[in-house]
Amino acid sequence: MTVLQTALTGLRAVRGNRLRSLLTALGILIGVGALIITVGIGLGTRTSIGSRISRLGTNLITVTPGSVTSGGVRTGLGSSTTLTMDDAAALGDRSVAPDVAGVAPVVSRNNAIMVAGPVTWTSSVTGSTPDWLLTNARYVDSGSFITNRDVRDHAHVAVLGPTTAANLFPGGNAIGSLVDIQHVPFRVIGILQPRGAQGLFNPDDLAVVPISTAQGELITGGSLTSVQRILVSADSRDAIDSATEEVDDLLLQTHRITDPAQADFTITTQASILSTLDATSTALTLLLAGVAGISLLVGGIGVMNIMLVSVTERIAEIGLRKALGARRSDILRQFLLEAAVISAVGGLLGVGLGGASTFALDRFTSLVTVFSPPVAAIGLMIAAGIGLVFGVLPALRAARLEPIVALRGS
Amino acid sequence: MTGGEHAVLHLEKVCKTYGAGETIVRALRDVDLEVRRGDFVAIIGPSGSGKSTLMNILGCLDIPTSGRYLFAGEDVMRMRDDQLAHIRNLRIGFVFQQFHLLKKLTAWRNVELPLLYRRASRRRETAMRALGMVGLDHRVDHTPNQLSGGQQQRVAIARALVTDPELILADEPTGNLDTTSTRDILAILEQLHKDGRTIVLITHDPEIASVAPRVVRISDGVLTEEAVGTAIELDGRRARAAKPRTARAPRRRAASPMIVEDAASA
Repeated sequence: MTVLQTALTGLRAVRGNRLRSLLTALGILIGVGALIITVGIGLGTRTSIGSRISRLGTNLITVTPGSVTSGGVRTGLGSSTTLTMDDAAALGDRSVAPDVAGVAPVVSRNNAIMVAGPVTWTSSVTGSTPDWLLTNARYVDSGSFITNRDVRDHAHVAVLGPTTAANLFPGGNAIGSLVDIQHVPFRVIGILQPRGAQGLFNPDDLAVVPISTAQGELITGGSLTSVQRILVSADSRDAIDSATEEVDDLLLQTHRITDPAQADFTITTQASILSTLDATSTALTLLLAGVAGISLLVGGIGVMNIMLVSVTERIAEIGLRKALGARRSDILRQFLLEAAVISAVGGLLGVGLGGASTFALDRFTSLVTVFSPPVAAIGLMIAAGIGLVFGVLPALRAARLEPIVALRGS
Repeated sequence: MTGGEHAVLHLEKVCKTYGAGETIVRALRDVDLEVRRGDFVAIIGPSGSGKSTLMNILGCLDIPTSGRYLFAGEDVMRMRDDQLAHIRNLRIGFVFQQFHLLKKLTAWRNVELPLLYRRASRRRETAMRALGMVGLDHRVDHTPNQLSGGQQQRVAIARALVTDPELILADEPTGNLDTTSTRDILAILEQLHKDGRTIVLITHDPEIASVAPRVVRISDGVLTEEAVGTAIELDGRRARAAKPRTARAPRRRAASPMIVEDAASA
């Protein structure tokens, strides 16, 4: 029998048992569908994490004090005050750190009370320098940002996040107005562009003032020279590694530390956070795909089950075909093809279901999902492969039937 | 008995046993049989006599435990599985008691089946011609459940004829049929014999066996030449290729199969 004839025979058998074939295909359908959906969600999560991180400014390097190992105890990050304005100034020297584009020392406090006329609002206040904009990849919406001169003069000027401005000045006349922060009066000189809330942390609710003013008048108990962290912006994404190295070398040198393990500061890059998140989402995707794979396996066992039933039911047909001259290979091919057809149909429907679900999830829920054609193709191939693999046992059983036993089967 | 060039079937001391030890069943014991080209032989025996076993062996569906079996001069016992399938496909046409038609296929698709396994071309044409030979050319697109028992068996005969085989092996072909259909089927077999085909008919019914000019009886696995002529007209004449006799007139009334009227539509 030619392959074409065998295929037609297989198709006829599948069509003849429509309900059963469909139910069998359902197992494969769900498996392939689940595979496509889970991988779609995994890929979507990855892209959305990636775009969020790049919005944060992937070139950002954060230096925090701490991690001093003394007597075997590593002191907590940010709890000590080993970073100074001098460190920040040193990092700003392009001849020493050529890959550093901007440096912004930062002090900040949460729960600062702000009063503007009759309105009271509690928010966080950050003291920094003009490079705060660059390092955070933020922009001024209206007005201006603090200048180096403001920092030098301990000026009482403040730039507000859009949320803060809207709450303190519902009338919208923020710029030029006065706001009391922790009972210290500041003049509002600018409003930042909104970035959008990210989880619990709202980057649009803050006030930025010159770091010198904050150190002197807002951060109680802090020294005038120590800073809570230094934000460093690398020249480009590619320069992150070299910039990190330059920062590390320079700070070790200025802090007179010979053993890098004894460093009294910690450097974090967005790239490292990115790769952590990436690894996490990859692991999650693999886990979900594994679950989908198991359901495909179960579907395959379903195919095998039904094919075994089919062989048992059609013993007389097999016997007849053998009596009429079918060789073992003819019977083997017939049943293998039948299993493959059922699985392929299930696979195709699964791709349809998976694809539709992926689009629907992306469109109608907050989940970001991506439909990946290669994954669909792989799923389809796996489905057909499963049909062949799990069809082998029933097909072999059919092929090995002795014609007289098979004929007697009726 | 020598395996002459003209012998379609040649069996020498063929034995078939099942099981071993105390439960051994000797289904066939030292069976000798020669069927020549153009013979019409009825093998008659009650159930349990070994006639099914013999039919399986003659049909190359099973191989003997010992002895010698030549099919058209070829040693069946030395054949591999695929070679046996080849013989069944090309050289034997089977007619079964239960018809064994595939329910989901139309008449002509059923007749086509053996041709599929030999990769023949112009299959529909060939199948149509075979259906014409059994007088069913007007029901080619009907499925078995749209046909009467007699018609189904005629489809099965067409399927047996479609490969133009050297042997037609009919196992209780009328066992599931009423008298009218039985008469039709036997008439077709007689006509095929007249046309020079070699037929082996297996039955438990002496009356059915009587259509064959030569009858052998099987009992407890032993084959004996019952008569040459007919079971009814036991006159001891050796007339292996004898023409059907007028004494069997009731069966002969149904003349040639080409003009057999369709029992169901009549």
